[in-house]
Amino acid sequence: MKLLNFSVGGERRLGFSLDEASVADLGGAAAAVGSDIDLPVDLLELVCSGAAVQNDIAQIVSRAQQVSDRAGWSWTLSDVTPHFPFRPRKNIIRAGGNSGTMCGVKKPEPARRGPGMWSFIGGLRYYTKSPTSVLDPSAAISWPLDLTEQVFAEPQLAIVVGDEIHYATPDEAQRAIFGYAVSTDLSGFDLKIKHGQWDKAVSLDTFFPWGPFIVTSDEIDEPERLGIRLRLNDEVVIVGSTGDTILPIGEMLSQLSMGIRLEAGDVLLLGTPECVGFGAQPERWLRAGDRVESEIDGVGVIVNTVAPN
Amino acid sequence: MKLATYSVFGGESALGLVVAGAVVNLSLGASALGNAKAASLPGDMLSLIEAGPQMWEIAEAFDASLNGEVLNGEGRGQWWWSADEVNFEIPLTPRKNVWVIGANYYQHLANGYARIPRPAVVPPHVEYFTKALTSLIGHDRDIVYDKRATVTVDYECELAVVIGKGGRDIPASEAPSHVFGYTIANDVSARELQLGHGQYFRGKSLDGFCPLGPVVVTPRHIPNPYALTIRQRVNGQPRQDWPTADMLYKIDEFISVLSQGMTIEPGDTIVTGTVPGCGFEQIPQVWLQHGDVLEAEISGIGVLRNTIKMAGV
Repeated sequence: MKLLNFSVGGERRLGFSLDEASVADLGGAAAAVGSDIDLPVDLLELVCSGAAVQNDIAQIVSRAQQVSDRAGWSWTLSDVTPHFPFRPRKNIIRAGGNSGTMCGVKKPEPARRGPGMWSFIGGLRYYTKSPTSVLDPSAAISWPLDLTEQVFAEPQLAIVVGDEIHYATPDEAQRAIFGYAVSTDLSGFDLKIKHGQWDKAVSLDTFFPWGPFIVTSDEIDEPERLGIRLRLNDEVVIVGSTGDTILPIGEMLSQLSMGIRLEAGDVLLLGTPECVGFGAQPERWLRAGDRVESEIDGVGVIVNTVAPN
Repeated sequence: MKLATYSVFGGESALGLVVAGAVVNLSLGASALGNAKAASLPGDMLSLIEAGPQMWEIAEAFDASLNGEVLNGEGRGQWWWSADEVNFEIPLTPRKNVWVIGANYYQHLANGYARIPRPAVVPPHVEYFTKALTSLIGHDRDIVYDKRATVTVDYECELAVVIGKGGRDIPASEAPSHVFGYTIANDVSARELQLGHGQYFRGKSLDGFCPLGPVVVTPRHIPNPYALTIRQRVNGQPRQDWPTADMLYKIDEFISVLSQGMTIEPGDTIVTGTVPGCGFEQIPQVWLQHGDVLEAEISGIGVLRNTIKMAGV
């Protein structure tokens, strides 16, 4: 399933992608296929609703494709306003220094990988983004110019947790993932240096555009083989694969779960495919009017423009 | 007022006022005493904070009307309890991670630097990191650590500031009006993870590593947050004892800087840094062990007591 929140006619709806060009309201689709289950009110509740409810919803989504009369509950994608999937209940966890193409620095040996108390030798920097930084697709990115002059963007695979992960193996952790979304992770490079700890520098308002779709994990066969890129004013400035990381998804979640209970609705960012901002400065900082586009194959694309400050 | 989230006999959590050694259920107590306005206040601390200053004033007025005479035996076990009969729960769960200020007392910093041949450097700007909400626990709960995650568990008693009024780009001069109250946090840390990962989030966020409470005290009872003393005892032995007056970055400044470009919200909790005397500052370094009893105390707020347990013991 590709799930999303959208607005049409001023009304906010929980829905899904019918095909490339159209979306449907989940409640409307449920009625059309004769389902009377209690539906979640929003995407966060859906993510946290558990396998039984999610299977029922998958049935509705699948049967809705067969319905020919979709009047009143289906729209062309271009006629609706897509929103970010949800505002997480906690900070978004970000893995820094996870690039396997670390600016020419050799990738650590596999022996140093894996969960456990010594696995941090791989050097991952875990820090967080405040949930207040969430931003809709197409909405404008902005920040006070006197606060930071060195804002840069990285494309990120956002991992949405669907089930508790606690002292889990990489495989167990992988199975607890609900789905994936595309996101753009914005940071103030000078703020990172200024404050030492990075959480504030990445938490400014509008610094986390994500969505609109959460693609459920059953639709992504190999989450570590997805092409990922960032286009700045149509020029590709970062390109790579979601597999270009030191710790792959399952291992990162497993490592974090050693001591930190991850819960349904948690959102994590895997790390950027190319080393940007970590020891290496991006070639240029974002400016008013820039068009920032993150794309992940099979997951989606999100475009935001930098507002004139 | 001193607000607490408490439970009795394993029942549901409720919002209470701590007065003269008693805990008064805010809504039931207000009903019993005929204060209709206070009786209709929200029933949990985060909702009360989000309801805004007018609602806080109603609660403050009700608090001021309570005294030992009101609590004369009538209603005990119905709308009030002796403080030693209740469990103090996590006062509130914010809508985002707990913010923490790193390196905010010079001597704590200097003791850490004493192990390496470099002079102590005061950070030129406020250092903010976060603790996961899953690390929150209440007073008297066990801090359970797991050897698979850490063996270097350390304590840090800190003054926590709870934001009442949200905002963005708040000038330092207006910051005091954004404070709802103060409580105690024990910023329990897994030192090898904190240092090994460089960024502190993981080492500070293990399950149970953020005891908070037991009460939130409003500025009416703490007019000067720089006149407090921070103490920590381990098994009764004094380890930390230092005045908040020594804070490097003051509350007004770190609220103002945090809100630059970033909206802060009611219920946001900012933990303001620890004072000297942590286990890692000792020579040789000492780590917390199974059975150790921590008592984090701040004058004017209370004592936050938790016991260290090792998983699987």
